[in-house]
Amino acid sequence: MLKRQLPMLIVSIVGLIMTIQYFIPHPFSETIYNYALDWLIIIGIFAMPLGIYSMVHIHVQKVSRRQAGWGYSVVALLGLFVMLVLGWTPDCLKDGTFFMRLFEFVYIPIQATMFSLLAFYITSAAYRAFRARNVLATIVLVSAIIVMLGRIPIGEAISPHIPEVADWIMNVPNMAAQRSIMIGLGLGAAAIAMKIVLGIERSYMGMD
Amino acid sequence: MTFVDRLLNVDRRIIYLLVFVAAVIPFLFPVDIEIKVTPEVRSIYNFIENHPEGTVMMLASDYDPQTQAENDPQARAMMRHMFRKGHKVIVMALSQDGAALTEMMTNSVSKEYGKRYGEDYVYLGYKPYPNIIILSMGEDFRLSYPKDYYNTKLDELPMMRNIKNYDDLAGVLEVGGGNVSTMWITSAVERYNVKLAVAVTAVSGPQYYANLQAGQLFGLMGGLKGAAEYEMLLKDEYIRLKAPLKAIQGMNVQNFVHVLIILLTIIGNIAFFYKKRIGS
Repeated sequence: MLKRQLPMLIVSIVGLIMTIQYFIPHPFSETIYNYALDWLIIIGIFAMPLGIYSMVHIHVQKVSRRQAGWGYSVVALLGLFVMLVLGWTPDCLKDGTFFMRLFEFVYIPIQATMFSLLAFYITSAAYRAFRARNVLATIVLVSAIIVMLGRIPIGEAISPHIPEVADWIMNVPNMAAQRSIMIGLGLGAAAIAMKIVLGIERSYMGMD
Repeated sequence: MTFVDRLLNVDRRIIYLLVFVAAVIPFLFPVDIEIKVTPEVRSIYNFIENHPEGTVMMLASDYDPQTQAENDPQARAMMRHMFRKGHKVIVMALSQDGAALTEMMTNSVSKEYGKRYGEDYVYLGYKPYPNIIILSMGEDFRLSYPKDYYNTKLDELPMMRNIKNYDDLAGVLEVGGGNVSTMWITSAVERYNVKLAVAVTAVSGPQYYANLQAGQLFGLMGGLKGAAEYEMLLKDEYIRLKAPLKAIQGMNVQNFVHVLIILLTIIGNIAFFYKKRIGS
């Protein structure tokens, strides 16, 4: 009873209250909403130590069992604790502190490098896999080339119509596809929410 | 192995080298390029331009180092424009990796204009769980941000004394590389009728055209191209400040790399069809 029905009952009651309050523009409804927001922040804070515990636990296990790639786990743990300790030092966010130097000259370049590598991979992938094998693939290929050209100044230098066609592709076919995805996602999310409130969907409690 | 086979099985390191060369050439031989300004970028410019001096606006800087190359020029361009017009700016960050980046950007642009902290701009800093923060700011900024990034109470900052929630802002300009922009639309626009424009990465750009056409956004700045368009609109200001036109310079690189990708794709297809024809 306590393990199954009670959490479902709480979820159903809270879900119903929050759905109803959205449509009632009254101070009492606003109070409920603010109260729920406070709870959201409080519950959210609990997730953070849980995440840190989970990360430390996984990496400590990996190191103690000498699993493949355990050296990376040592680096991950070192990174976590060094930044955690330095983050507690007073004025750590001021310019020139060791904490900020690590952030500025280690973390930022690493992150930027990871993302910029995409340009190399995309070019290689486009060369190897972007083939006009059938009609649909040809449409995608031609559209991609037009949009790529339309998004750079040289496209307009070749012909002023290229950016116009690129804009049309973005504003008509692209938007139609995006809209259908968004509407599908929205309906799906509403259906899932309703199933959770009604107690039909229970996977969030580890049940089928 | 025929020439076509070699072409189809070219070592990927050669392609990487070509990309590297295409990215470096524009730095060595920069070309003066003209960039056409799109209506979605111009409407952000007009929004900032047409509000009277002293209007309070928010710059939600939700990007991190990964997308800094695209988002940082966007944020700087809008920030410079707001300061040039004499607007007051509330800056905040909803990306944990972006809090320090945003502070660097805010400090450097505010110095260019000699703006005073607490009177002309404030930096609220980072708080986790973006959707909750966006919702709670609709009620009161103090719910999520009782203090600013520097641990000063919001009520002690002169600029913030009469500002409670989104109702006291002309609008929000959001710069992001992830799905936080969507949260702004669903939580701030739909629930609190916030006037919102987003500046996103080129990859994310296409998904926001639907929101733009639906009127949920009044402006959209997509990727480095969007930033370059904004820099074109503020070119004289950048020259006056001697600030680097980073996005316009970046478009030179994009010019070369996009052309390279298109050429390689065409060559790959020609080789593919030639091989197919010979094979059949």
